[in-house]
Amino acid sequence: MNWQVIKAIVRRDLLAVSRSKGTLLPLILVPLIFMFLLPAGLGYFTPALSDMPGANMPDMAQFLDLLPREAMAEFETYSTDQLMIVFMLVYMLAPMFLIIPLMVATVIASDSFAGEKERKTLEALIYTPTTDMELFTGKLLSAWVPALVVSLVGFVLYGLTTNIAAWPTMGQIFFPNITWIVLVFWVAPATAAVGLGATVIVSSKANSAQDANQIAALVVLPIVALVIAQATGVMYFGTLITLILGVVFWVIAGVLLWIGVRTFRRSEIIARY
Amino acid sequence: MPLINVTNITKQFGSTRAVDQLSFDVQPGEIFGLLGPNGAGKTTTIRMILDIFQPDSGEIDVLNGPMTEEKKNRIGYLPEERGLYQDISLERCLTYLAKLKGMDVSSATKTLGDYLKQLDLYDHRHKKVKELSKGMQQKAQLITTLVHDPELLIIDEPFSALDPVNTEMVKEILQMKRDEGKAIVMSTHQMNQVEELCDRILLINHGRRVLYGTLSEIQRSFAEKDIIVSSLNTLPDAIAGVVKIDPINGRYRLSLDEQAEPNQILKTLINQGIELTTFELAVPPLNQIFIKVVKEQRGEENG
Repeated sequence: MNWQVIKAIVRRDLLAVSRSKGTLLPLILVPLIFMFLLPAGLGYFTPALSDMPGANMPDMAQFLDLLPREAMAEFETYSTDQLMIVFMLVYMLAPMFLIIPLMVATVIASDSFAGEKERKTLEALIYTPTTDMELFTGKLLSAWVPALVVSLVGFVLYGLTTNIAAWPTMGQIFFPNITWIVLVFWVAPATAAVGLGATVIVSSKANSAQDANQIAALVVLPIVALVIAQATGVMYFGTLITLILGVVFWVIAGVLLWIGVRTFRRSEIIARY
Repeated sequence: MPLINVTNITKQFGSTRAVDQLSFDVQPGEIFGLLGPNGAGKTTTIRMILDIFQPDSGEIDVLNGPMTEEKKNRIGYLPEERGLYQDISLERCLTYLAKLKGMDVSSATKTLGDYLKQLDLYDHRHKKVKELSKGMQQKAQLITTLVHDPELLIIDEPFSALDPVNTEMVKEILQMKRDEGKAIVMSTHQMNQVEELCDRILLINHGRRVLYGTLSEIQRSFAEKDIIVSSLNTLPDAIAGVVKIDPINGRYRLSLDEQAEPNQILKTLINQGIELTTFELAVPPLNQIFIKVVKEQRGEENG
């Protein structure tokens, strides 16, 4: 494979993303909401919730009781307010973090694969002497790398925001824990790859980036299910579960990308063009 | 040695036979016209030459053998569908496409600069592609086809959106490339450009070869027994062997009788003291031949 060519494809696609307000806006807004506004609000206001008139503390205690015994052991030294903060910011929002790599990967990949078709630039690209694999790899990396970078930046922002916002209650640095490290460096890349695989397959049929994005966005549903599972105590996002989740996502991503690379053949693309 | 050698290729899509037992070759140093009505199978043929599609049967040799990845760098293709990236500067767009053709940035920048100057686009290189006129974009697209100095050029409607000045500019470049020994396959519906540029043509219809050969051979084969003459003095009212004399735009079209030969008429005119400035066989324009052949085929199909 000619890596100079792949680098050129990645650079151009990233330039296209940086020039497109429609693509860039969700890439900035969504991480800003999930990684800054939400933790800042929860970190600062969570303790106040228990002091609010009408707050149902027995219900909240029951809510906390959903955590498994080993998780509770980890939090023995925390007060109720501190426990609420840790539960909210360290555990509740953990699966939600996965929305970031997923969203970034699908938005950029939709623009890169289906968007080229929509803008009629794909034919010229296909007739260049690049191989199918170089084109595919270039387009894949141009969505996957930004997904990882945004996730990493989001993680750092989230860490700073949670520790600062909750400092009055926590009085110590409590974020990140091992689970989050696994989440960021193991599960998030896999999640981005799942989003990419789904988008590549959808883009081969879709005629516009918007169509591809809308259909590919359905892969967010399992993440929402994880958030609900965590919130209702069905599943506790411990380190082991997170590691296993990563394995599952990598397997799914592998299958989707295998199907994707088989659909990404010039003859197939041109025949449908 | 031909740079393209196509032997009995056939390609079927579902129940439609897009290309049917087609054979032709393209030599170095020639402009070869690939002609045909819409849906005749021209684009499918080009895609098979470029190894995008595989023929169901038959063989294609490109640059002296089957297509390889290395050979793709020696071909320049101007597709019918123009696909420049609209939101980036012309220079950046062209550099990107040159890099995909294996060029390093410094040689791409130099070659692109030369072509941009030659095609009067140099002062527009920092503008976004979408800010350029259609004609300018067409010239830019041609630059992406030529930038890596391909030995074989395949160009689909190279003159679309070009004004007469730019058309001349592009024609000069194509002729220059032919003189350098490159082979150029040109697909167009502009028959006047084919007459001016092409050495040989292939006319296909329903994927089959209808006409193939040098332009003059084909035109002669369709010529009626007429002669075009112009002279410094007035032609006599009657010329032996001529049944009809029609003035056309300051010239005359002489219709010969069954037995008369052009040489004999030339001799007669000179003997009569006519000072000729033009004496040529009245060959039909390619446009007329194209319409005639395609209509005849339609007539045959409709019974």
